[in-house]
Amino acid sequence: MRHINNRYLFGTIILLLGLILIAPFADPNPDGLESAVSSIHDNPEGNSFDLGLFSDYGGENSFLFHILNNEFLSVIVSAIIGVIVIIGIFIIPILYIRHNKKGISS
Amino acid sequence: MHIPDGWIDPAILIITWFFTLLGLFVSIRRMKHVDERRITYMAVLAGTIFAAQMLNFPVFGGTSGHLLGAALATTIVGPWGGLLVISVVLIIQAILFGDGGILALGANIFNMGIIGVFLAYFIIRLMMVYTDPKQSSRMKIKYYSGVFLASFLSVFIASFFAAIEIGIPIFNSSSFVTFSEVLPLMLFYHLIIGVAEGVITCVIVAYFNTIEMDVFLEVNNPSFSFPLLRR
Repeated sequence: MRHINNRYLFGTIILLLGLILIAPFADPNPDGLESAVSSIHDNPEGNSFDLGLFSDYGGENSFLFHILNNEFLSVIVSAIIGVIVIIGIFIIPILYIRHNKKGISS
Repeated sequence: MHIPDGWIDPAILIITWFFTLLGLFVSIRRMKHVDERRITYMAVLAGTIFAAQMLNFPVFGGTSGHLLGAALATTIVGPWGGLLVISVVLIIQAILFGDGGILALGANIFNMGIIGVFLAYFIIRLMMVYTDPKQSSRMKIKYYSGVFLASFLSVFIASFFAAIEIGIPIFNSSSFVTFSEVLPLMLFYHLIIGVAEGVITCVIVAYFNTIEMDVFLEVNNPSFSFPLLRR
């Protein structure tokens, strides 16, 4: 296996932590798509599959917000949970590759 | 740019799901021979793109935008890896965070994943293959123009496709916006968002160049990931 560039990992993890920490200060206005549609239609309500646990990334409607009772914290916690889940998904193929390597070497 | 459920015509949903599933199927097959190092890069990159997409920055006109990350993903892990990275981010956003619809997930992956990633890849291939920014300042300008243009157009064209999908009813004639209404507004907002995306991507790529990482390993070696594009 080629050497993993540690400075890539270091730089990206620093960037990731920075993004998570500033996430609660993100702009509350709707994004380009919602703005475009809401300027034409008064109530552009769409449906999402919402479990309610982390609605709006830990926003006031989410279960996490009601547990922590602090929006700043709930946004950060939901961002961390999201990052962990996403990285966890990529760990599955890594474990598979390692398992295969073990099988070949033994 | 996450489209919720109920905004798109069922026929468009079926078409976009078809291309999305096809793209994901090919991507997963391409990942068979990928090593652990590249999957580690993909994992960290996906986490970063997820966090970046959470962050809405203010845009002129009372709206906001967020990083798409398609061009960034394709420069680091190639088009197939990039498609998987963006897809995983969008799937988690839809299932856990209610950002974008489940039925519309096919359209969202099609717009931001397939269109965003592959368009960025083709532009980068056309503009900057084998261009070393360290050789001369002219090369440097060409190099970063390529990164900027790829990032900008990946957002801009993805928004164009989103406008088509939202605004063109085939079976469902009760669509609340028409293509002619939604297109100019979408393009206007995403023109500005695309510029911000281009600047942010250039900064991140510049950092990767300072650490002498093989940022464009796959772009400069298309046979590694995309034999059809071999020159």
